[in-house]
Amino acid sequence: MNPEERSEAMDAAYKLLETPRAHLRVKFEQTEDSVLLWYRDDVLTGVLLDQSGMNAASAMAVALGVEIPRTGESVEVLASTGLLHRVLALSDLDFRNPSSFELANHLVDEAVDMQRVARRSGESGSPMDLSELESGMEFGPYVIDLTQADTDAYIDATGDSDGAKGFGGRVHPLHLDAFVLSKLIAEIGIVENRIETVHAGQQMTVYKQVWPGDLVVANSTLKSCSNRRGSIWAVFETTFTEETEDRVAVSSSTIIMMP
Amino acid sequence: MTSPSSVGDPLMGFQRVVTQDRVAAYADASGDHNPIHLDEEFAATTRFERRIAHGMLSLAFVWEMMSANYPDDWHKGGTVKTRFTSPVVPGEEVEVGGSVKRLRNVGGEDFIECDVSVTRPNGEKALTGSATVPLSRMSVRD
Repeated sequence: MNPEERSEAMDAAYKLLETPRAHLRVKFEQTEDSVLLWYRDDVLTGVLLDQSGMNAASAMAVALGVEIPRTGESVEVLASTGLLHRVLALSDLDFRNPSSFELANHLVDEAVDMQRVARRSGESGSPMDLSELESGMEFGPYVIDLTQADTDAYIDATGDSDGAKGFGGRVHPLHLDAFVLSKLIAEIGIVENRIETVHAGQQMTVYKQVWPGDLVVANSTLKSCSNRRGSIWAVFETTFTEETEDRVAVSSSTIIMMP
Repeated sequence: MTSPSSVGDPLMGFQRVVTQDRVAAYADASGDHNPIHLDEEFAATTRFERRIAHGMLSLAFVWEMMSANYPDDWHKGGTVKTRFTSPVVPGEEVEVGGSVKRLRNVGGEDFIECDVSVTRPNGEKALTGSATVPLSRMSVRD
């Protein structure tokens, strides 16, 4: 991608970023001669693999919180529009100018602060100790990206023989909630530490239907946490949103843990 | 089928056998591998003394019932508020049912609120609560 092409792509990219969004799924790709940032079918920006471009690509990767993919490969990243503004600015720096490095450092620092990384993903790192739980604690974001096969498997597992007709290919809303619950119990250490639990209650309100392939992001908050006769009663409230920030659903889960 | 719309109308319910295979399949599909559902040895040390089904599986039955009774409206947005009052033990056949509790109009929108339940073979309620169908509440992306 030459500077003219980049300029044209960035004009469109900045229009995309005019609407603040917490979650956009972008693709960071290395081709034979460029490093490109995609959103869906559009290139947002890119740099040539010359010396200046490699510096820019490295800075973009750090800002996005990933490694530069190998040639011919790509990596998907969830990023806010604020973070993407920094990445676009980094791609536009001319690193033949020494002052660009200082500006790049500043932009990267800002981007790193903005990275929306699951801080304590249930899939990585050690589960927390139950004694760490306190009201107001936030969990996630959890990125939910279900396939049609995932959706079908969930509906089949419930025994809903008419499910395909009933849901018309849509994601079962409870599947979203179940997904988050599975992450929460892993994060809290219920599975690894084999803690006896009771799922005492569940509420859910659905605002919008989603389809396989739609990106849904869930953010959970420990709304209340109390110790009753040695058992911990925890109420988690979860908000599900699409990358457009549209609210998909909200839920509340009451879990009793008996450590 | 006409959707139940008068107070007291029963919902079309169903029975379902909750096998351990179904519990295992649900664990895989949902990602919830809590040992209380899957590990017989661990479950024996709990207050239930045996493996129990996921509460969310019972809730899925309620969701299915609401979907069948209100095919035009339930998927456009619905609310459930439920308590899991007794665990379903694999091997049990549960009864999923409910009835129209009341009709409401809030801010110009019509709602049908239903009592819902999942009942174990011994008559204990595994799940009780309400399900609210908001009629003409949201746009549907078809």
